[in-house]
Amino acid sequence: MSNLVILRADMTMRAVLRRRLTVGILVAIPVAFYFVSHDMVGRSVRSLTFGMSWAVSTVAFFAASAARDLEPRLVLAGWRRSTLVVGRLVGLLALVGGLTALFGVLAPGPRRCRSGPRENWAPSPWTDPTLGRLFTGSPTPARSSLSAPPSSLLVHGPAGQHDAPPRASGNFVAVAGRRSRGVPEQVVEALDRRLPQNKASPR
Amino acid sequence: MKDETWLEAFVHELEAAGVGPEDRAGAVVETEGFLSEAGSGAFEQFGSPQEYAAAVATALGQSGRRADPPPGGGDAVVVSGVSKSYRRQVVLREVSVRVGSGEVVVLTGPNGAGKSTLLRLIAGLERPDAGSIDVHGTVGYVPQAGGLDPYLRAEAHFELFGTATGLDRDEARREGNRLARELGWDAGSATVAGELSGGTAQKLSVIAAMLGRPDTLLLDEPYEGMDADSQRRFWALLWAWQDEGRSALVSSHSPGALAKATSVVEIEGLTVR
Repeated sequence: MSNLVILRADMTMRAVLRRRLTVGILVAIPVAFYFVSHDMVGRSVRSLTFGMSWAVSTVAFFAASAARDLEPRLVLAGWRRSTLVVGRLVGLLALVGGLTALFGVLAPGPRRCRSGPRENWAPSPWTDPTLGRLFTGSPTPARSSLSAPPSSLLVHGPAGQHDAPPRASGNFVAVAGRRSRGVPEQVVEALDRRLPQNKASPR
Repeated sequence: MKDETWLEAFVHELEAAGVGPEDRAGAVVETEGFLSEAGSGAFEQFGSPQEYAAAVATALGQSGRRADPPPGGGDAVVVSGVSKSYRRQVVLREVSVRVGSGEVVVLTGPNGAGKSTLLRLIAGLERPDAGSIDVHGTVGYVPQAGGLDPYLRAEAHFELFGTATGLDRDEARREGNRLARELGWDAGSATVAGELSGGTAQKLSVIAAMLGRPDTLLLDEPYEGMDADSQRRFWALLWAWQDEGRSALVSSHSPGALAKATSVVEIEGLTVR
């Protein structure tokens, strides 16, 4: 990669990171998207990446707008237009890399947490990891506790443990009063038999 | 304008016009003596310091206007019969201008006469509707405002503009800081461009254009907002530029600029007078 591309990328990153609003957007939009569906298996991470792409697009728009004044003069000074564009792109991609690393640490993927027997599950992204603690100050599964009927707390177990996975079992369906959605009784019972850990849960 | 301020500007203008220290001191003493006897303000008596300094320099045999361009000859910019309109609004009509190598030409005219448009056309940032523009060599362009990244510091601009001509980043910073010192500005401690005052931002813009070492500089109201000392330093820098055989086309309203140029082109009524 040429030195000029690196220089332009460096300057793009400096200019972007000096904009407080831009940095706020880069962090806040992905976090907001993540928390909208934080208790849904898989969807939270998809939302996070969607939020990141939205935030980065917005920042790229800001960077391109700022370049409209400067870059024609740089072309007159001897820069190639393509070098400027590639350099700006490389700078933005480097920011995306940093952002991905940041959220990769803060928000672990739910699949890793939710496979295998329930006893072996890692703490859910909402109840345990840093992202949850950062924004709630507590590892309690707050949203589930508030929105679900009191009896559904039974499937959560003590505070700080796991959310119930949406397709986990008839137990969940039964306790949450969703039998009426059309899940056949036999299916629920079959699921209960297949997932021994659910048999221990009170109905 | 207070007499002290007027006299200070007068001294700067004399210095810029190439009047030696002894003659300068003599002129100031004479002027102060005249003012104390007359009992009225300097501006009422002599007009602007620029005009009076130019008159004094001429009387002393050292014209405020720059002498002939250095030998070398040739045309740096030739504009022939250029017209430009924006949505049926005619901005320039068959304008022809010539800037020779080593010349500093001042472009003057009322607001809306099309000076900035002509400079943008020469820079290649816009296309003329009719006519031709021949530019020999490279050009650097200083817009009336903007043209910088408001979130980058001065030294970052030096690096961006300097590296385009083959300097490495350290050399570009050093050269930019040297030019800034010549304009009386400490660029090393400067904040981001968006937080600079109008005059300082113009200094940065001028330095950035000079770092590209173009054959011709196109300067649109370059010392808008600069103080008297900075204006004097700016002209000294431009003359040093001219001594290297390079050219400049300067758009300006300032009467002082007219006295310092190799030639003056006035745009009036959409065309060159």
